[in-house]
Amino acid sequence: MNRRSFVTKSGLLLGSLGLAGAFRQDLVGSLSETLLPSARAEGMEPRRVLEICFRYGIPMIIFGTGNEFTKLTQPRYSNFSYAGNEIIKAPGTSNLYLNVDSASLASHAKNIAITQGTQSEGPHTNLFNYRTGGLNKGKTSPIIELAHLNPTQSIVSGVQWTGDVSNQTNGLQDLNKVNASGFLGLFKNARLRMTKEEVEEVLQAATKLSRRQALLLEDKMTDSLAQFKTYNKAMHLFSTDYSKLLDLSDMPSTLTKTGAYANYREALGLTLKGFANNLINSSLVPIELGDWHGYQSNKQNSLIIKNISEIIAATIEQLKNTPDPAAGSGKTLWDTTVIVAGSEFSRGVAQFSKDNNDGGTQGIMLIGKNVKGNYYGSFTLSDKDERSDAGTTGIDPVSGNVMAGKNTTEQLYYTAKQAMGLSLLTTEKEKVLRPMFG
Amino acid sequence: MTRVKILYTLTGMFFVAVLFQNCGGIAFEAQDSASRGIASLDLGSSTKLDCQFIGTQSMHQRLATLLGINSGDISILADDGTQTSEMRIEKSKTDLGDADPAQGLLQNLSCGMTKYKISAEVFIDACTVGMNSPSQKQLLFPQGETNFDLLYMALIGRSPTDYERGVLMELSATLPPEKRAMGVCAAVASSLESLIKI
Repeated sequence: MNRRSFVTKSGLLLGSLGLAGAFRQDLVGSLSETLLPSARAEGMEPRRVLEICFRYGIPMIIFGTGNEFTKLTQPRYSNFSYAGNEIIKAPGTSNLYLNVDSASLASHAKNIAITQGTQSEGPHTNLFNYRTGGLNKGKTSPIIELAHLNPTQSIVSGVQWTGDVSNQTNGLQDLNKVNASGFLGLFKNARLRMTKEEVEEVLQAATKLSRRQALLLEDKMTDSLAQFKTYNKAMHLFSTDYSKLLDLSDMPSTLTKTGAYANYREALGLTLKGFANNLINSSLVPIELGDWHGYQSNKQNSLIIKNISEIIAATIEQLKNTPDPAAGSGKTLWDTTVIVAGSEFSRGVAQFSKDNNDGGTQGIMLIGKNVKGNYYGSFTLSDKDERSDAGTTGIDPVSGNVMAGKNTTEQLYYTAKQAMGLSLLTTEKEKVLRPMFG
Repeated sequence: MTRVKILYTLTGMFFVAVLFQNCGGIAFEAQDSASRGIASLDLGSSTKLDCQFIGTQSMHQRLATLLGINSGDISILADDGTQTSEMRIEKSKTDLGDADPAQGLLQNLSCGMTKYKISAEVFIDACTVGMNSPSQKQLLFPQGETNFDLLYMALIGRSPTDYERGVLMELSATLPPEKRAMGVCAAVASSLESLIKI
C-alpha cells in the first residue's frame, strides 16, 4: 500500500467516526510517515524542478537562437550579436544555433528548448508574469504547485534563494526563502543549552501547542494549517543533522562559491546536493545579470553568456551523473528534474546603437530529458534593417510551424506546468507549446 | 462570533488590563502581543490575514524584557559546548527577515521553515538562560511553575486553553524540577502563535 492509499482510506474511516478534518489529516499524515516511511506518498513518479529566474531584461536568445541569424554578414543585433561564422548549429536539433559563448551547452542541446517569440505584457518589468498565467491572471506559480505536491517526499519541499522574485501561492505554502547560510542552517543541528532529550520534549510540546494554535487561528489567517505543516517539518529538522550531506567539496568548481556569480554557483551547487540527498524537491534561483539595456557592447554580453552557459552546462552534467534517491534504481536526477529558465521581461532585438526597448519580447528556456531541443519561432532580421526592434514571432502550439504573431505568456505558463508534469485540464493542454516536448 | 471567541476576547482583555496594572516590566511586550493575539480580535472583521513573522526586533525585545538577557541576543555554542562570540539572532538576521541593503535585500517577514527553526533555537537557549534566574522566573511564573497564564499572555497575548495547559503540564512532568520553567518557556516561545503577527 502506498501512502496516498493509506491516507485516503484511513482518512475516510476516521472521518466517518466524526474526527475533525485538520486533526484527521494530521493524525493520518503522521501515522503514514511512521508506518510507511519508504513508500512514496502520492503514488506519483518523482519530479523535481530547478527554476532560474533571470531578473531584468535578459533575453533567452543569448543562449541560442534560430537560423535567421546565420544569414547576417555582420553582428548587427545587440541581443544576439554574432555573425554567421560565429554561430554553431547545435547537434541533435533542427533549428537551434548556439554561439561561441554558449557553446558549452552544445552537448546537451538536444534537450534544450528556447523561444523568444512571446508577447511581453507591459512596457517594462512584468515580474515574470508568465509564472502566473499572464498579466493580472493570478494563477498559482507552477513551482509552488510542484512543491506543494512534493512527489519526491523531500524533507523540505521547496526553497527560493535570495533575490526579488515573488510567487503566486493562492493559499499554498510559499517556498522557503534561503541564502547559503540559511540553507545549511536548516539542515544543521545547532548545539543548544538543553540536552537533546530535553529539546525533543520541548519541541514535541511546542508542536502540540502549534497544532492547536493553527486551528484557533484558522478564521484569522489565510494559511494557518499550511503554516502548521511547515512548522511541523521545521521541528522535525531538529532530530537529524543533514548538513554534512551538503558539502560542496566534490562538486566541480563551476558550482561552488568561486569566481563570477559566486553566490549563484553556490546556490545551484547546494540545490543539486539537496536534490541528491532528497532534502529538497524544488528550487528557485533568481539570477540578476544587470540591466541588459546597458550591455550593448558585445564584450560584456559575451562574458555574461559564457559564464552563465558554463554554469548551466555544469548543472546539467551533475543532473545526469547523480542518482535520484527518490526514483528507482539506475535513475538519475536527469530523469526526474526539469530546468525552467525565464526572464522577468526581455528587451527587444535591436541593432547596435539602437535602443533595444523595454518590453518587445518574452522568452523561456526549458531543459530536461523530455524536452525536445530547438529554437521555437522566427525573427525578422536584415543586414540593412534600420528599425530599433527586429521583431520575433512564435509557433503554432500544435504543429510547431512558425506563425505570424507571437505566443502569449499564458501559453508559457501552461508549457512550464507541462514541463513540471503538473496536471492540466483539456482546455489548458491546448495552450501548451507541445512541440517543445519529445 | 462564537461564544468561545467572545470568551477568549473577554478573558484576554481582562489579562491585558491586569498585566498593565501589575507588570510594568513587561508592559511593552504585552502590548505587542495583545495587538496580534486572539485577545485583539476585531469583532466586526472577517478579513483573513497572511502569516507574518514577528521579526528580529521583537525577538530582541523578548529576550531583553521577558527573559532578562540585557543584550537581547544569545551566544552561539561551539560543538564542544563552549560559548562563542557569535550571537544567534545577529548571525541569522537576514534569514530571520531583516533587510540587508549591502546585499540588496529588503525586509522579508513572510513566514517559513527557516525562521521557525532558527527562532526555536534562539528561544530554547534564551529560556534556558533566562529561567535560570529566580527573578526572571518569578516574573513569568508569579503563581508558580504550573500556572502558565502570564507566560502565555506575555508571549501570545491570550491565556492558554485547557488543552494547552494539559500539554504544558505533561511537558513539565517529563523534565527535572529545575528545568521545568525553562522547558515550558521554550515550548511556548517557540510555538507557532508566538512567532507570528496576526
